[in-house]
This record gives sequence, structure tokens and C-alpha cells, in this order.
Amino acid sequence: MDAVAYIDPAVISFVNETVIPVRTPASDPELGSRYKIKWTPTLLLLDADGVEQYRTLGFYPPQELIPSLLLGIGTAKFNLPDRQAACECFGEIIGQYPASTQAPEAIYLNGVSRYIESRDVANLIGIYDRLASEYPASPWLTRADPYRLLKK
Amino acid sequence: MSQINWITDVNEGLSLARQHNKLAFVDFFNPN
Repeated sequence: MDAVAYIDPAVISFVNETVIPVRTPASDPELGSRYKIKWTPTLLLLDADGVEQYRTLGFYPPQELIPSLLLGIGTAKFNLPDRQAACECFGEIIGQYPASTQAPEAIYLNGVSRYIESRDVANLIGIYDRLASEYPASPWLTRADPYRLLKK
Repeated sequence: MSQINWITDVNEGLSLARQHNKLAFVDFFNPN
């Protein structure tokens, strides 16, 4: 991460402006036990109470790290629930990082968030249609498959 | 900004997260 992602200007700017960046050795016995750290790098997003909101494992290139963090922030907002803020995060992934591996999940969660708020099944159908059109090989299309049956 | 402004104390990071209404991004790394 140090050699590639953390020296990327866009990553530096995003991390400094969007989250509180903390680095700690995985060998820390207290923290390692509390957060069940088994491998490095393990990247967590914690709320102010120290509660884990998102976890990912392994190295990320710069172009994947920002959308991964956006997905984590969006997921935390989704769980609050602050679905408008969640949709802003998911929308940024979809609009700014469509080639990222997080984009299909962002499309799924964005549609789900909008459905929960509106109860309009068009949002669920929209998930299926967009994934089928733009990400036909994504496992998220499989998860959205039942939504195609909602079409009249 | 030429580098990430890492904090090394998790509790300080959580305190700042509360102060700024942000999430703490914690990288558990292997220093070796």
C-alpha cells in the first residue's frame, strides 16, 4: 500500500479530506484481538465509538482504494440509516469509478436504498437492468436476478 | 498535500472521528 496506493495524489487528497486516517501495527495485541486481525493489510472503517462499519483485506491499487472507501462509507450511512447520504456515496462510485470492481455493488445498494425510501419497485428493476447491461459477469447480477420478475 | 496525515493512536483517531463527524480509516499493517 505504501509503495503504490498511499503515494497516489488522488488517494492522499481523498483520505485526508474524507476520513480520519490511522495506521497501527497488526501485531498490537489489544487492537489485534479486539478487531480480530488475522492478516495484513486489513483495512477497517470505524465509527467514533470504535464499532466496525466496513472491513476489507489485501492490497488495493489507487484506482480501487477510493471507490472501496466510498463503498464502506456508503454502507455505514446505509446502516445508520442515512440513505440519502448513502446514495451520494454509491452514486459517486457509479459516476466517477464505473470501471472499479465496487461499481456493481454500488449499483445494487444504490437501488436498494432508493427502493427502501420510495417503495417503488422501478428501483429494483433498475438494478437488474443496469447490471445486466453494463456488468453481465458480475455476481451482483445474480443477486439481483429476482428483480427481473417484477417487470410487468 | 504530499502525504497521508496518518495518526498512530487509534483512540486519538476515534476522538477526531467524533469531532469531525467522520469515520476512522484504520490500516492494520505489517511493519516488518
